[in-house]
Amino acid sequence: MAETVIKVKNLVKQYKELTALDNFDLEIKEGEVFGLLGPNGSGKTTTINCLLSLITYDNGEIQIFGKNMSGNRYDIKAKIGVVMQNVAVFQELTVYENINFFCGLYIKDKKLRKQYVEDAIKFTGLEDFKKFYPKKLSGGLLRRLNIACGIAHKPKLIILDEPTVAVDPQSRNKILEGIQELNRQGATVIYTSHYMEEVEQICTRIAIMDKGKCIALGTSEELKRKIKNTENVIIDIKKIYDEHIKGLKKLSHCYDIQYSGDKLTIKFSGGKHNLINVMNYIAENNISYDRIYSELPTLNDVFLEITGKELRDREG
Amino acid sequence: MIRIFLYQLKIILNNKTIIFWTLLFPVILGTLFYFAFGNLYSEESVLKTIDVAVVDETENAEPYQMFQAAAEELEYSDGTAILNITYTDSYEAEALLKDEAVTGVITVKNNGDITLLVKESGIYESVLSGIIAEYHKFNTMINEISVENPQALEKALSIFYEGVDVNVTDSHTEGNKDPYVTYFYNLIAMMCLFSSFSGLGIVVNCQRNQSDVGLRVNVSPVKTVFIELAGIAAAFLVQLVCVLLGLFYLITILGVNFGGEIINIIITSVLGTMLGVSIGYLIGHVGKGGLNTKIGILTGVELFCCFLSGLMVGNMKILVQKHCPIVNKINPSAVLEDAFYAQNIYGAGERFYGDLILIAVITVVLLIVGSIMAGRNKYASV
Ligand SMILES: Nc1ncnc2c1ncn2[C@@H]1O[C@H](COP(=O)(O)OP(=O)(O)OP(=O)(O)O)[C@@H](O)[C@H]1O
Ligand SMILES: [Mg+2]
Repeated sequence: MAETVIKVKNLVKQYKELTALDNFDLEIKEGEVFGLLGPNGSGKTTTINCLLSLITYDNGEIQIFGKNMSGNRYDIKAKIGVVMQNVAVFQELTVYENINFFCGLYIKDKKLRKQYVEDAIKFTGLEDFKKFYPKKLSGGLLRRLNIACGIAHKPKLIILDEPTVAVDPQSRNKILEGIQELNRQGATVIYTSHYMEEVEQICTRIAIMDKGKCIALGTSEELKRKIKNTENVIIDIKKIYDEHIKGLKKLSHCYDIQYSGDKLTIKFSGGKHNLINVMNYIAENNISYDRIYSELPTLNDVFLEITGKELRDREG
Repeated sequence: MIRIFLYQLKIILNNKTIIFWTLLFPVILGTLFYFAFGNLYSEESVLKTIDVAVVDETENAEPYQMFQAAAEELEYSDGTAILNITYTDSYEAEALLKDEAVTGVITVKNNGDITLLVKESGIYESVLSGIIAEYHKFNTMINEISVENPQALEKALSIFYEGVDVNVTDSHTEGNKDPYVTYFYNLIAMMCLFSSFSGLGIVVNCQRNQSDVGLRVNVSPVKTVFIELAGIAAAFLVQLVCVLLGLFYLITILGVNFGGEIINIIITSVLGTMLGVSIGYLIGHVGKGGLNTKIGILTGVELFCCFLSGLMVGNMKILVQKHCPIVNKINPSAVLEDAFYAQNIYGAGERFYGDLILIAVITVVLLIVGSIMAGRNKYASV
């Protein structure tokens, strides 16, 4: 049985009238890549700030590595690497110096630190930019620097708060692969995001948050199994008549249909030949369409079903 | 610790805004001062022998001879004569004055009274009137003595020579009383106070409720206060070098005559820079808000201090002294200015050392209060 790295019980955090965290519980085991998934304002950053004792909270208990966490538990802090939501680097120092400065707060030994800093630079692919000042870096490179500063000291626990916000796909993939690599090297990871694809891609276990509560917990498979939705058939279509929607709704296992942005989403719960049934109906009724395809439910569907709203606005 | 210090050094040195405001801006300002006041300044900066015309209107020669003897004895502390006397009649004297061949015309009247006629007002004119006033005092005294105790006259006369000399020296040759030099002292004081901005920057970078970097510093296993102190030391060093460079520029490149002993000016600058940095340290710890808010607050506070100390409205300091003297003892700007003033005018004396002690005390208080505020490291939000 893996050891518990983080244990949070009944965490409550109020900002005046607003309850940012509402009796939030969390337990993370060693070796996990744990995803905190939730829309903007759901309390992800607040959770992390409480975990690190950066802010006070109104109720609850937080243990890290089996010890009660507080602001002056420097022994615990020494084993954690943090990558905050906002890029936090000195504009006046170069890439190398920034990493070296922050790594130096953890690693005193000069030779070891040098090695670690080089590792971090290689790891984040910043070799060509060592002497650059942050101002000169693109958004994606800056994010990578932000990550390098947080993980250079090879911590046992890594906390990343939306490290891929506003990052190009190339940098994003690099970052995600890197996180998995760190995990393989033995780090436990907490990863927050409102991008479900990322969380699905790298997280071994996921907590979905909404309004300061954990509304679902499990692996992405488990989470999807919990919901009614098993398959979505999507038709790209410019125009559809209400009678056809009604007709499609009568197909077996279909329980809901949505039409927005030239996309008709037909939701199924169970059933084996849903796509074929839909295609048959379309052929029988001579409906013209652009494209038709089937998708398995995503975490967005999980979120949608539990909260009745989208995890995030669909892009485009 | 040393590594943190070195990085903090680099962070400050690489901050163009800070270096601009604490080094380039004052230097530019100083240069502008210099060229704006340059003429007046260079003309009056070095005390030289003053040309005067002396007119004898006495009937019996005694008062005239007495004055003549006294005037020829007068010299600056370095031995150069204060007065270069042309003996003439009143008609020609006025012509000389008109042609600016002499700075003033001194007339010895029959009753022993002495009058001074000058064309304009300036430092040499005031030196002359100082001499005349001094002579009047002694003249009265000598008259009294000669009536009561003629034997002591000789002795009194010798006291007079000494007296005038000492008095002139005291108020005019040590230190530079030229009002324009005050601008340059104020400039140095301003550079010292501007150190507060880099002190502030250091603190903001270490506070988690004020900057993103502060967040990162706060999740590290190094106590924030260590990082701050290393930064404060770095800020002090950088700013001190800025002030000294500024001084060097003013003295050697522009040739400003500060009057006071250079060592006293440097000591005051060292303490003044400490003072400046610690003001920034304290402001950095009061309340929240990021760097820009804090810069706003700091600028406001310092402008107010400068206002009270008369940097903006000339006689403000005197007003404050009259109605609420304690303010001049705790207002960093006022104390710093006074230290510069005291060492210039009175040299390294009681008033100067008193000011230095005050600066040190204010600095320590600011640092302690700042640290106490830093110690209350609980925040409801960041
Ligand atoms: N300092 C604060 N004062 C008042 N309310 C706050 C403060 N910080 C956060 N909140 C509120 O608390 C809630 C949770 O915020 P939090 O930053 O934890 O969300 P998040 O899940 O990290 O969102 P995002 O994806 O945008 O980063 C939000 O409603 C937010 O408005
Ligand atoms: Mg957040």
